[in-house]
Amino acid sequence: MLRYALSRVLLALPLLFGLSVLSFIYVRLIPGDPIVAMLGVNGNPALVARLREQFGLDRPLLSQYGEWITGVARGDLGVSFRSQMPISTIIVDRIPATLQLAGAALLVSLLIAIPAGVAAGMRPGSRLDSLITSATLFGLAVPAFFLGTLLMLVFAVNLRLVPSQGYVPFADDPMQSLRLTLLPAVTLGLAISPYLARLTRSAVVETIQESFVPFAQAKGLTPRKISMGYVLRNALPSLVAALGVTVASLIAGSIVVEALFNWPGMGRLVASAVVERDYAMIEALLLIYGGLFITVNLVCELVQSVLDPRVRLT
Amino acid sequence: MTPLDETGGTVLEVRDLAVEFPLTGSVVRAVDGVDLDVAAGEIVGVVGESGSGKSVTMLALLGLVHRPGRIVGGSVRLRGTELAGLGPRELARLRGRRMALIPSDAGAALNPVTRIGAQVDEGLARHLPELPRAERQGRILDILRRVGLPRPDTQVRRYPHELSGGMQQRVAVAMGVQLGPDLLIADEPTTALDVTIQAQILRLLLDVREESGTAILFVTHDMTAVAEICDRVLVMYAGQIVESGSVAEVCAAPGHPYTKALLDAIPPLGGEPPEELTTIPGAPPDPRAWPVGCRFAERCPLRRRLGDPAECTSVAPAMATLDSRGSAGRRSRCHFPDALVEAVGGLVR
Amino acid sequence: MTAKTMVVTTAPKAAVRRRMPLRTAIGSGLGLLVVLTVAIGPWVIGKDPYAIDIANRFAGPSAEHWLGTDELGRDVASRIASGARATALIALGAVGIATAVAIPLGLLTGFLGGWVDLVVTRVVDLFLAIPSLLVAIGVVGVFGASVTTTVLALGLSYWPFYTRLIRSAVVGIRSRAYIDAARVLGASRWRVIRTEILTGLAPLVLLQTTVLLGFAVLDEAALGFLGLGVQPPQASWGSRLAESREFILAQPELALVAGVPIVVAVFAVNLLSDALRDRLDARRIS
Ligand SMILES: Nc1ncnc2c1ncn2[C@@H]1O[C@H](COP(=O)(O)OP(=O)(O)OP(=O)(O)O)[C@@H](O)[C@H]1O
Ligand code: SF4
Ligand SMILES: [Mg+2]
Repeated sequence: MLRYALSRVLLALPLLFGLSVLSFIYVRLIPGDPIVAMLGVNGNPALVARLREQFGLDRPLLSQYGEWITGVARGDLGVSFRSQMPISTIIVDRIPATLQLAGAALLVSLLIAIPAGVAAGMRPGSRLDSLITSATLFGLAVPAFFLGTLLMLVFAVNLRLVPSQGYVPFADDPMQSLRLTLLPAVTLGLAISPYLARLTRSAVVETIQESFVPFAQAKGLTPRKISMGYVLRNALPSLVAALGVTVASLIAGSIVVEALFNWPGMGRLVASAVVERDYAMIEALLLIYGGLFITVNLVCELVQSVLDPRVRLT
Repeated sequence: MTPLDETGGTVLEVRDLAVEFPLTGSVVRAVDGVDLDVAAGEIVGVVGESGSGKSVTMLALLGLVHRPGRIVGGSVRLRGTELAGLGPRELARLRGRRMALIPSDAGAALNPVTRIGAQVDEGLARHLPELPRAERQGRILDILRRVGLPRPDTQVRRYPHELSGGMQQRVAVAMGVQLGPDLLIADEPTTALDVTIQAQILRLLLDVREESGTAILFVTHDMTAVAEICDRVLVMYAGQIVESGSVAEVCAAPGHPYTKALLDAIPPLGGEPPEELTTIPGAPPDPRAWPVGCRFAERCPLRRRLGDPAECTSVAPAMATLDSRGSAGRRSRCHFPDALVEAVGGLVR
Repeated sequence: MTAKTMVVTTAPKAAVRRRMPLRTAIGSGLGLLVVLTVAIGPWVIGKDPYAIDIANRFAGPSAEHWLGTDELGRDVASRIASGARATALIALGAVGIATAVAIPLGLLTGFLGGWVDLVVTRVVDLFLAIPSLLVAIGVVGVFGASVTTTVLALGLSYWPFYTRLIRSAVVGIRSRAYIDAARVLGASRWRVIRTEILTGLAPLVLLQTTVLLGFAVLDEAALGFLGLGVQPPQASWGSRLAESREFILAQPELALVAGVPIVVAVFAVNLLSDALRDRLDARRIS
């Protein structure tokens, strides 16, 4: 078990290293002088000098990388040239909002997608399966901003049940904070549900085809015991893996949904950093989102190994 | 349930069983009019080519034919209780307790995420819920010891994949016999195992019969195994039983050309049994449209030998008693069973 | 053997396959609608999508303006129809780029194996660790938002997973191709391998291209919505979203109207690709 966990972690390390190299090279890929690209030819000389210092573009690549990565390791992601603030401070400020939205959205999605996927997968080819599969095909076609606009129009503008946009930290006013979370979370949760539901369905379909299912029936076990103890229990590791994959959709979706609802999370930084050509910020975000995805999937793999005794051996 | 005759007598009585699988545009009648009887303490072999309908028949007995397949007709009586009319809950209550299954590949049939002990316990807990936990534990160890699993007290805490194939199969046998079923269905219980383990599992089946008088339906491709442990044998071809009788009599004088061909395919003594009985030239007919006449006609050497009589291809032979040989219960589905005796020798090339 | 047979008995593939052809019918109908919009939409509507008429801004639907007018009084229907062209071209271009990268790379790695395979697989894994929309946004960061960048950005964000798909398909086909090739001699050996790979990959490529077209339409729209795609006033479905976003609270119906064609197009693609997938699965089983 421990050996397996260790080997998984060791496998993730080169990936993280590769990610850091990629993010590092990214800024250096920008045609011409990135500082000029950011500030224009007539940029403020003091700022130009400071950015040159930060990126160290005149030094050899290897030493640039070395310095940058040791900074990253200490939590120093450089300075955003727009706001002149340390990037790590900006990002840390936004983590609570992003986590609140992503967590609530994930909850919404789990409540919708897992039951739907299980119901469809348990009886492949049935009416219910056809219905759910068609619904996921439609859901995959509905962009998150479209869905969000629709929900906003109905529930905020017309029915006036919830505020349409905005964010209040949970600690400041829990009730208002939750009310504001509702629409964006439902939007994002619904947006990623088709993916999760399809992954869930195929995990369940695969499991009911295993020959331990008819054997369990031949033992006279109740349908309830078979679906819980056999089918779902055996599909669980795949479901965890599906969850890891879904995080990618969650991240992509959050960029859009945060923009739509004026939600001050990390996703908002992405679009604004690109528009403002804040390369240090883009670099940091690539690193963080990639690292997040790698880490989440690593954790999912470890959880899978806990859930499946066969994995632990290898 | 009705009071039952617990001693001896007929355990299983199947009449005219039929199973169909609707496909897009056609229907596969995988089992077509199967009759069979099994007495208490009897081991009945079921042989026949791949696809002949052995497994589907066995699953139908257990009431486990799944959508889109369905049992379209016939009667299955277990110790006098008609199963055809029972609802899914009542059937489930009989499964595992009154009739049990030993799967062919226990490695795949055991729940990979549940410990052996807990898995053996599932059946007990389901069918004997009133039994206290401690007593169930005792019975689990007991049954595992009886099937010859070494050191059962440590094995119960292991997962299926930590056991060898032979040990997995023993566990599956233990789960099959733990509640002393009237009928044990063993669908190729040894195909996944190597020869020495196969022999041990066969021995185990004999022990089970000896100890609890369980009737056993033993599906196999291995005629040698049939000769070793079975009392009677049923030969299936194209969804039907084409011959039945005691092993000794059938082997000595087969009453159907297909049986004859199967027997001729047995390797000489000491040789490896073949993976599959493919030595008969030709292929079985398309299950979506069975031939009108004898289903074996296309491949039948006897028919050719007899100069291609019209009955073979125009009239479906019925299962008829072979009065001329052996005991009652010797039956064959051929128009010319007696010609077979005369033709012995020159039949199969 | 028996275990397998029992599996078949329990979870019949036949039933999985037996889905309503209704799905294909709806998919084809909607698909046709989209194709027609792209092909002759602007001509049928016959309005200049760039003609500004401030006096008539935010007008509702009328005989003159079927879908009303936008914030500058431009005809929404004609902006959507001509935007459909831009979006279709972007989607085709992006999928073209992804395919052009993925197929050679997938073939190369699947066939050669060894260190080439190792290196490419690692790079693919690395790119897969970054959500594809983020990869696309990164590309926009380098080149600046434009039509060309959108094509490039989407193409580059799809190649990793497409390459992985092709590679594993090639690995699956390879051994069989070699076995069959071993039965013949000389130059025809190559031909056998080539035919096997081609016949093996063609359905997969067809399916993936379809699926990716749907993704590309969605992602073009997402980039546009974020202001990182096609830039207004140039018409595309994405830029239409960017324009309507400014009035999302005051005039939300504009944003909804801008989104409907996206839903229709992608739903059509999804229905058709799902039908295609079922067809291919069925063929693989039999
Ligand atoms: N789910 C299914 N859908 C369609 N046809 C099926 C299905 N299951 C079984 N069949 C049909 O039933 C026939 C009999 O299959 P069965 O598994 O009983 O053969 P078998 O005698 O057990 O063969 P084997 O020796 O290979 O185990 C097959 O030829 C097949 O056509
Ligand atoms: S009925 Fe005719 S074809 Fe059929 S087994 Fe007998 S001899 Fe052969
Ligand atoms: Mg079978």
